[in-house]
Amino acid sequence: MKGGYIGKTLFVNLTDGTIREEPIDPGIAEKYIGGKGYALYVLYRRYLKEYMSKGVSPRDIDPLGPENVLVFATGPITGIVGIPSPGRYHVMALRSPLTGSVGSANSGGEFGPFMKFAGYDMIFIEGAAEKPVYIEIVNGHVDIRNAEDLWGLNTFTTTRVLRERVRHRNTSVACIGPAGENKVLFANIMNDEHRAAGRTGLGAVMGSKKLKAVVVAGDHQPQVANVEEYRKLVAEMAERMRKNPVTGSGLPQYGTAILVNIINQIGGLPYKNWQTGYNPEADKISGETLASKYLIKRRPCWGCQIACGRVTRVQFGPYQILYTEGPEYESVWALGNDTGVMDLEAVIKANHFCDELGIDTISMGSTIATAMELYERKLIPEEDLEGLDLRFGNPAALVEAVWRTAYKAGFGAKLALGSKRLAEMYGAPELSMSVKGLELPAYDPRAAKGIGLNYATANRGGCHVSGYTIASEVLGIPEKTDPLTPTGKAKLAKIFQDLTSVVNSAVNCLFTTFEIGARDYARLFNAVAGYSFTEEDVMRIGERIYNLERYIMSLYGFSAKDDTLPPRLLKEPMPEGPAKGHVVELDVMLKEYYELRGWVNGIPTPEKLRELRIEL
Amino acid sequence: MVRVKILLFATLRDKYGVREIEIESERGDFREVIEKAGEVLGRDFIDDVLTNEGFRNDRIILVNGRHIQFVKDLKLGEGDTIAIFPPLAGG
Ligand code: SF4
Repeated sequence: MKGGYIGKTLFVNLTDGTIREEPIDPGIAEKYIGGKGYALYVLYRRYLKEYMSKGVSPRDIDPLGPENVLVFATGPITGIVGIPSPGRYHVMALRSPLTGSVGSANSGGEFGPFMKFAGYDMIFIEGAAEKPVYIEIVNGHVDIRNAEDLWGLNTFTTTRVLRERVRHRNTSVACIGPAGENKVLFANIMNDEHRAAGRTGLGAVMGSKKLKAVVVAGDHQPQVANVEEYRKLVAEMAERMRKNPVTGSGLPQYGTAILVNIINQIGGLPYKNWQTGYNPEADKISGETLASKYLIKRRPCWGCQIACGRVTRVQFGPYQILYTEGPEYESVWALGNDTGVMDLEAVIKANHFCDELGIDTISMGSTIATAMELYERKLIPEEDLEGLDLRFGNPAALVEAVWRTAYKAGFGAKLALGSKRLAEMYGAPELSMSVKGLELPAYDPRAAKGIGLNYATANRGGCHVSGYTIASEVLGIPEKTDPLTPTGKAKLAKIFQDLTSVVNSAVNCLFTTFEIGARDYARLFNAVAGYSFTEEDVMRIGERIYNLERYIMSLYGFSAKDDTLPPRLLKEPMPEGPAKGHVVELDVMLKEYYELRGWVNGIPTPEKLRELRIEL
Repeated sequence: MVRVKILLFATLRDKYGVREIEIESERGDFREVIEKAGEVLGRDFIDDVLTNEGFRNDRIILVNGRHIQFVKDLKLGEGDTIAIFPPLAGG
């Protein structure tokens, strides 16, 4: 490898304690870059194919069994100084316990870069330990260590203890909290205290492997292939990021929660479990309010010049917390707007508990909101709640519900299953606002049609960042499209999904795409890793990754029947606001989308796979 | 005479020190409403929203929740709302 990559992949088997190492395969890297793409390919070739050759059906893989494989993945531009926002990494698993689809999540902080400095581009974790363990990787030296003394600790304490043990200047800890240990189906992986690989329940996968943490530290420095070109690029891109009003001032000044007001103003901020999309009180929990009342300072991920991360504090009262980070837009929405809790201090506290206990905020808030609607419709009997007063807008119940979920205490054991299983249990599956079992994020597609198509077709389930059409439909980036029309949205969703697959394989931060595009990624890969990609090559790689993931999902039984939305979004017209009367015209968009993708029944055809040079 | 509400967000809120103002307009004309608001908020405000030919494309301007680019008839009526945002994003 000419540059960018460290050049090594690590395989740790927790069942038999074996540790192996392999060089990064240049052929795979050229086709799938790194991060998500490279991980997916290895997951398929190395594990799924082998399981199938032994007669094991992919459908029988238990996401919480030792046969699941978890991957921490970086790419060629992760951890390279000067590259726009290079401090992120991707986590993949053969299967998510929440969705049954491929597990996939992304996080910032320092873990990604430090993992490379520790000596590895990728870490594959197989099997399951009998007793709690953690994996320590320092400058290429790998140990599986006893974690019995750490089991039960929250994520902050775990991080602190392990950092102190390693005592290296570049140390980072990715770990689970009680929620992951207790296999809450939407438990996350937390790194560097407040950064989360949040979605699809990968914390529960770690918990099922009895893996408390992965600690990385080291001094390896990835090389750069073309130093001159790299210097030029870095200077140019830094300048562009600084001049761009979004990456240069909007995100640094207000963080992601700045979206609360605009999404509410277009009538697309889901309120009280998506019963409507406009909340007259939304400003109480907006980014502006957060900045003016609770913000102390910003905290960037490693090497990031945008620095959208918030350090916040609630100084007094029942929700006092003297140091915390966030909440992000999605968390403010899920824990606040979706539950009708308009007390930002309670939302900050609930968000803090989610980080501390290791829980995905979107799925948590959304599952509580579903429970609230079930309860208000008298579908959950009072006694099941064991004193938890789950009425919409109850801040105390919100905060309480978080820890009950993490420890599966009382009704928390039911919340821990996620909204889909919960709503099914109480006989109203339609009240779970999820796709493929993954709770939907903070945009009502009745007010922005393209994001509805993306929700339906996102490989990991109800996810916004797989294909963030909101950039165009609401924010006008790179150009404005009408949010209320389904026309043209199939193409938009596909482009965003393919490009995002590249970003997650690069790996750097998706927010850089508010300024840089496929052409810039080609230049970055060429300068750093010595490729000679064109813009088209890069989009092709993105498409390849997206199709491979789809193909893998089809082995689990996913098909067009799963590319849908909750009935509320398809049949209940938006009751008020600018999108009043609108539903999502999913069928029209889906038809066009499948045609563009070359998929039949929601699955890539053999011709499509061949055309994309996906070797099965 | 119609009354129109203008809502400001993010940096614009800080810059002009208000969240919202109400403007009385003779004709309910978008340009007229912004110019009248400029009399209260200062000339800068007009330049923050309007260009010689129309409105600035590097602002997010919503008229009753619809992006101004997609509003067919820019005639404003009693109780209508104009929401103005600087360029912003999140995720
Ligand atoms: S933009 Fe925000 S999330 Fe992205 S790398 Fe920078 S600080 Fe982290």
